Amino acid sequence: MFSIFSKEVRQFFGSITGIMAIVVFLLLMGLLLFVFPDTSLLDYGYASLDNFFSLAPYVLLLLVPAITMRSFADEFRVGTWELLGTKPLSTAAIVGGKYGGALMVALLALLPTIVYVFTIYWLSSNGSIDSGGIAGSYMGLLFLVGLFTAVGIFCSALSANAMVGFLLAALFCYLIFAGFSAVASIPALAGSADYFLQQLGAEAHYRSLSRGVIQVNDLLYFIIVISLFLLLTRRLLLRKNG
Amino acid sequence: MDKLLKAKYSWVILVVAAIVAIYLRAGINTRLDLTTDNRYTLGPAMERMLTNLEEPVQVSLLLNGKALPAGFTRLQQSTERFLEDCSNASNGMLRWESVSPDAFLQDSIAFPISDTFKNAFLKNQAVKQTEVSESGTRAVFNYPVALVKQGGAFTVVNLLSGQGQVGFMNPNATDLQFEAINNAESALEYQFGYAIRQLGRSVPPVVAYATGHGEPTGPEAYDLSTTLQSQYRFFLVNLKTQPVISDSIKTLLITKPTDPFTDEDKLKIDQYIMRGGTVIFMTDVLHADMDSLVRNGNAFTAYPRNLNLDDILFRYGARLNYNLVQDLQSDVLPQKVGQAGDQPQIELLPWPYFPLLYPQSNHPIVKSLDAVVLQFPGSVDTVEAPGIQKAILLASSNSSRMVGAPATITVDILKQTDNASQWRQANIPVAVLLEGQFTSLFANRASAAQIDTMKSYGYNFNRSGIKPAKVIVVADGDWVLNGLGKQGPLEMGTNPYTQYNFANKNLLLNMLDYMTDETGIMQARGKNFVLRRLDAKRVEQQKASWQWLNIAAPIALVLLLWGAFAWGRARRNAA
Repeated sequence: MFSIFSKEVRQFFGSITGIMAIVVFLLLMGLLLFVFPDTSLLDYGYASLDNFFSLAPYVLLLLVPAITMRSFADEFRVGTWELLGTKPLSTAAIVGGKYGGALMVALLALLPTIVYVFTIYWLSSNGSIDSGGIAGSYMGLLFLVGLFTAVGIFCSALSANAMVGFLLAALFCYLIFAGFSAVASIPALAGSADYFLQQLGAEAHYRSLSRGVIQVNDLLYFIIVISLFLLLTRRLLLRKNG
Repeated sequence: MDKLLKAKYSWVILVVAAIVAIYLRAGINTRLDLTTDNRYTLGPAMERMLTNLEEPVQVSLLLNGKALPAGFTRLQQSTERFLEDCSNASNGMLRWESVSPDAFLQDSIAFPISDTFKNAFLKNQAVKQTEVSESGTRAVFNYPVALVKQGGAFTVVNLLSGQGQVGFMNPNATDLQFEAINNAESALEYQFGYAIRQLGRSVPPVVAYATGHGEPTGPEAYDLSTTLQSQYRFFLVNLKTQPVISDSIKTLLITKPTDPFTDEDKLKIDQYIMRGGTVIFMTDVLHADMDSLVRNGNAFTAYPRNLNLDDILFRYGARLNYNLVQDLQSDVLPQKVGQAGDQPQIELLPWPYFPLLYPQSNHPIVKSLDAVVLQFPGSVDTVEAPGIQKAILLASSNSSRMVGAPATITVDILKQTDNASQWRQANIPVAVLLEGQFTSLFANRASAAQIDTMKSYGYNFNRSGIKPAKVIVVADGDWVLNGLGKQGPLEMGTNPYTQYNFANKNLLLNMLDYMTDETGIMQARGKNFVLRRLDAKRVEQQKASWQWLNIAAPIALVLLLWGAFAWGRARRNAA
């Protein structure tokens, strides 16, 4: 499993497109949070990173699929998948390694955003930020990235075409993140199924975590959905091998 | 396992299992609030109220704008998060929605409030924005207001209540606005808890106004009685003629008595407190008022009234001192400063006998309250009383002093205000709260006849408190009375010359709310969030460099990481 993991990470850093994806992500975040006035942290007046945590999911919708899109698709396309099948590795280990590698890369892309935290800390008028709250928010972001990565891995295993994997992953991630709450807000559902529908989507759980409140049931939601997609990926691979 | 997974429809089973698991895990409520001031944790009282809701509560939030001024975006977000927490805590019994104010206000069924209210209240509180569209610009209004409905009843929550008018029409956020918004965020739990409690009460609690000892019942108490009638069932109780004070009375007000209390009267009050009753004593132990000054010319002597309350209050843990608290931080009155020809020159000058007290304590009764104005207050000390908790609600400023009886009240006091050495005393307590199970003043004194009389009315004599009770002692009786203007009675705490309205009424209502609150939601008023702001000056001066840093530094970090990785690989390959 570890060999797959390190291979994934190395492969990603070896390709210029992967680095470009991270650079574009950070550039976009930087522009949104420090230049564009509507979402600027500097213009908000409060020493808080609320805008960062509320915008990050949407930008991650682009970054994470870009990281995961070639995970399996390339193996299928180039034909190394059959080669991998000859190694003494279980499908579970392969999925685990691929997932871990992609997650590692996604987290490395998030790591430099610590600069924003320090900026707000330096500029805070009473020299303090809600460090506990921000740590909690990062935890929410971590779980959301974990979820997106699992979905991305699954979509990558659906087709040999990386582009298809990217588009499907972006779509699925979006639907899981915001789709359920959008359906739940249909007035006809008010007062009946809306609450549970909302609970099926990731948005409600992410928002709850990103306030800095760690709720066990929110974390469980992410763990359940991540497990679901990893199991579905495994199933796909098992069926592919016949 | 692999075999099972490979089955054709195993994915259906997986998805269904996940949905069931998601449904089940909702029941787990363990949580950890990492924010430093536990911002998102409801107090026990609120939690209790929400879990015990018997009828669904519907909250409609009228603050629903896009791109509101920063403070309002923040308030909107906090309110939504708070309501979401409430909804979760109530297991869905509380539902909330953000509504479009324009459409909502025109719908008189959804918002059944009189036009007068809409005009007066909403106009003042509106956040105006201009919306630009193809058909031109139009004004869009938002309101920091929520409507809370339960059954057929509703009440309005003003999110900025008690924050005054701080120029919100101006979209440029000022320090005041940040403070006000922060206070409003801290007060959310109390405000909504208060609203839900009010809706849940089928009948308002009874507040009684004691008479029989010269308590004012004329026009000077007009605002007091109308204010109380609007929120409570309000009765007059003559302590002399009523044989006992009924337990149905939640709070007894003793307002500026002038005649002595007999032992019989005190026994009634004492036993009422032993049974868990709450009493607010607002007493002037010295006879001092402006009328005497006018009658006597430039000076008069404030002599002690014989109220005969010292022993009972002392037993409960408070001592009213026979003195006057004078404070340089005081309300202004027109005073003669000189003579120009035959015309006296009148100026508005501070009148140290009317101190302005800014509550410093974080006690829920007084937290973030504006100044309260008192008239000729004395000081009140707390004394040892076993098992009684004491809290000082009001105290004087850093430049005050006490003058013992017999105190001369004179207009010449103005000449002393420049001499700072005479005004060195600070934090002289003027109002205290006592809580706990009190010991009866009559524990070893009640006669058999007295005990028998009580029995005949169905009450047992108690030597000490059988329930926790509360007593507030304020060393001034005038602060809840109103002045009279040309248009009729003023509001209590209004300066008739400047028309400035101090927070006297808010303080009285907070006191009563604390006394009559059966839910404990009043504790939520003490919530205090830390306001964390960006240093606007530094942001402005250094904006460009921070922008560059935050765009370039993260990217540079990634490129560096990549470079190191590529270098390492090149070395490995070369080796």
